[in-house]
Amino acid sequence: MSEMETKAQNNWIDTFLQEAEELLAEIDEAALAMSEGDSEETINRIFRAFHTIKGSSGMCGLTAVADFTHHIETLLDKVRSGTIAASPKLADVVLAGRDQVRAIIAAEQGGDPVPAGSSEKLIEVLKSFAGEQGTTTMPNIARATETPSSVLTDRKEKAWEIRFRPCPTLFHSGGNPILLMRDLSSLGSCEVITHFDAVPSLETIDPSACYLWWTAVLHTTADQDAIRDVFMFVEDGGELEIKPVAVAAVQAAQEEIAEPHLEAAAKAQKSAESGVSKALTKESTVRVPSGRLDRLVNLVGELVMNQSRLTQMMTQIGAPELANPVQEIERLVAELRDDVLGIRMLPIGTLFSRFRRMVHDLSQELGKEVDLVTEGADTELDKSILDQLGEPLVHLLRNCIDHGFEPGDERVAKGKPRRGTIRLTAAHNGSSVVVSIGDDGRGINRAAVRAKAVEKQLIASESNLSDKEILNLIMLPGFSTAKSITNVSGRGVGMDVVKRQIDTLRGTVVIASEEGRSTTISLSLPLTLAIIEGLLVQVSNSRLIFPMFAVTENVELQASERRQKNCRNVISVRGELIPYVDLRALFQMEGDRPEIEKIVIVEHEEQRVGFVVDRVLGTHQTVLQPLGRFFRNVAVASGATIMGDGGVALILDIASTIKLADQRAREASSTSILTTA
Amino acid sequence: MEIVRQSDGVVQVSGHLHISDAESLRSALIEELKAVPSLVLDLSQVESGDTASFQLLCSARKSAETNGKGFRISTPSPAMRETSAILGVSLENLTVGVDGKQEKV
Repeated sequence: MSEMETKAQNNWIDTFLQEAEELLAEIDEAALAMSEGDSEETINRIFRAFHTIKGSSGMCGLTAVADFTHHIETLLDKVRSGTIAASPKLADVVLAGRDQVRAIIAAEQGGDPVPAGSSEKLIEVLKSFAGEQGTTTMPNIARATETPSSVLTDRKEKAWEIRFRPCPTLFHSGGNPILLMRDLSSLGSCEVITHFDAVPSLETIDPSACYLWWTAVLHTTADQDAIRDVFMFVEDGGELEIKPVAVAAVQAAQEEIAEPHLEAAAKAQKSAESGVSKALTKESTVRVPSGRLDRLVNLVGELVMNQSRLTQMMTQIGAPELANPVQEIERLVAELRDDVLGIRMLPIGTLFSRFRRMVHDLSQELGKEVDLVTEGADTELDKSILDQLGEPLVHLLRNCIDHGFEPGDERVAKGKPRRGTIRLTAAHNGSSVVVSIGDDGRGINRAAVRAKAVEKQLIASESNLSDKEILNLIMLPGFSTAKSITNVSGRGVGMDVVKRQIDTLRGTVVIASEEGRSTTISLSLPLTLAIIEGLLVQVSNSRLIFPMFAVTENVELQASERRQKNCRNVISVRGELIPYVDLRALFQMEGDRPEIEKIVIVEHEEQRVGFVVDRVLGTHQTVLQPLGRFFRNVAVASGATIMGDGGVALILDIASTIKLADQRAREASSTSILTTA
Repeated sequence: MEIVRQSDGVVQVSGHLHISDAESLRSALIEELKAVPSLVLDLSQVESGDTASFQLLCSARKSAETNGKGFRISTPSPAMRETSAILGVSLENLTVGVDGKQEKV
């Protein structure tokens, strides 16, 4: 195989892997819905998903996947036809099958090999399930799979005329007519004719394009939907016509004979056809590697920076005739920026559906009865944030199931429902999204937390902590109150990891808990990481940017006032004493202070903290650029941005800057700035 | 896939015919058809063939026809026969005589 051909093959496999990932997630969701009793449409969904996996994997040469999936499909087909009832037990079998498919795919891609015999064992389970439950019938499911078009057809064998002219790129997208025709033949007796009138001669043919088209006559008891399912993943961009042979003949004669039942038949036929064409004109989508989107976002970022530079230069050279076009560019760039960032926005629901499975499995493993309720699944977040949000949420959910809930009997004794509920919600709140995990479990025991923190020497035994501070102790590194270490949580790496990960996403973690009743952990996250609204300030010769979401207000600091407080670094704002960090001193910047300085007050972990700067320059659309390799360990700046004039402004990392200031203050006077307030 | 010229006008293709080999099969067929008045394609050693390779056989037939050359498929392997049956492609129909007329095998 040439390099190009290998690349094409790899592309197919990549496409398949992406597709399979989505389909497996869908199976997960549908199987869980089925276990909760929602069985009608879900079985069709599961069947279609497995069917697609079978087809695509076969096309990519992943025969092990296709072979295994075939057995699941056989079982599901029996469910669809009503011979086997949908049940929670069936859902478990489907889930196990799904996991095996994933494992086989991973193994084929060079991952851990599938344990020997595990597939065979599961196939046995699938077969015995199909056999064991074969006598139970569930007619309503069978009915659910029938569409209006098949009302005409009872379960008698019928002849269908199928005309399939695929999209020329059929082979590129992994379509394999051999498998299609084989699948078609499996529905009944099938006569296929390949038409090669459109195939060009060797000199002009593109060997990778598909010029062939097919007609087939199929005698089957299956309905139109089942036939269409065969072509499900190849019909895009192609032509597919499926019509009952009898009705087709009737339709031709319809003008002459106008018997009422024939008209009805023709009408039904028409509606069936329009159904087919509807399926063909469904909204087309394009799969794009996320790397290309990232590049697009970067380019737009640079465009935004250059645009602000242009605006600045226009005012400098004073060319009023430029004002209009520059404003127009400004508007277009802003629109482009919103659109491009919008492409990366994904509903958080994709993440939520993963957790339903996890909660299902974990609660079984730990013998706890827990339901997961999700809200706001359509809330959108930037993909890069969503990608990094999975892990912390997994930690939180695990913690919640493992520590958060009392055993069922204890719950009943307390007058709570036996089954616990985890409420996973997402909602917009200004320019951020708040994701919260709430449970109706035992709550956080303050005394236990405090005792543990003292024992671990995280706090002094006599320290006077607010309720909030006690709760926040559980996010300190090395803190774990679990009495026994389970394989679920309790290695003491949970909450501090969560906190750190959310910090890197520029988010905040807030814990609320009512002892004995509930715990809610809320993660507040920015909508995007690429461009933020910032407050531009100047200290000495440097410019800094505060993330706007944290800034609450600016106040003045008179030189006299500063001297008066005698380096205690607190200012009174409307009666409230607010500690402040002197950035000039902290960063050891040179130059004289202006007579009147400004204090930018930010909200940090529910406490207000001020930062002294020389001047506040205004708001700034900040395109975040990561710092170079040499500055990686500079914690006080989370990134940088390039200004309109080409200069660089650092973006202040508020948490780290406060930590640094606090550390310096402790070194200097052994008192924390945060406790002076 | 392997293509071997057995004698003048007889070419044996063996192994798995996959879309990724289609381009090399195409160039080989063009060259062979140029060199001889009639080409016999021996498919007895083919282990599997996909739709793209079947399509290429159709294309070869068309080329032969337009250029007034003969083209014939000889002894297709069981795998090829099975696939052709599934696809509804008659291998016999792919044969053209030197005069450009269809010929029975």
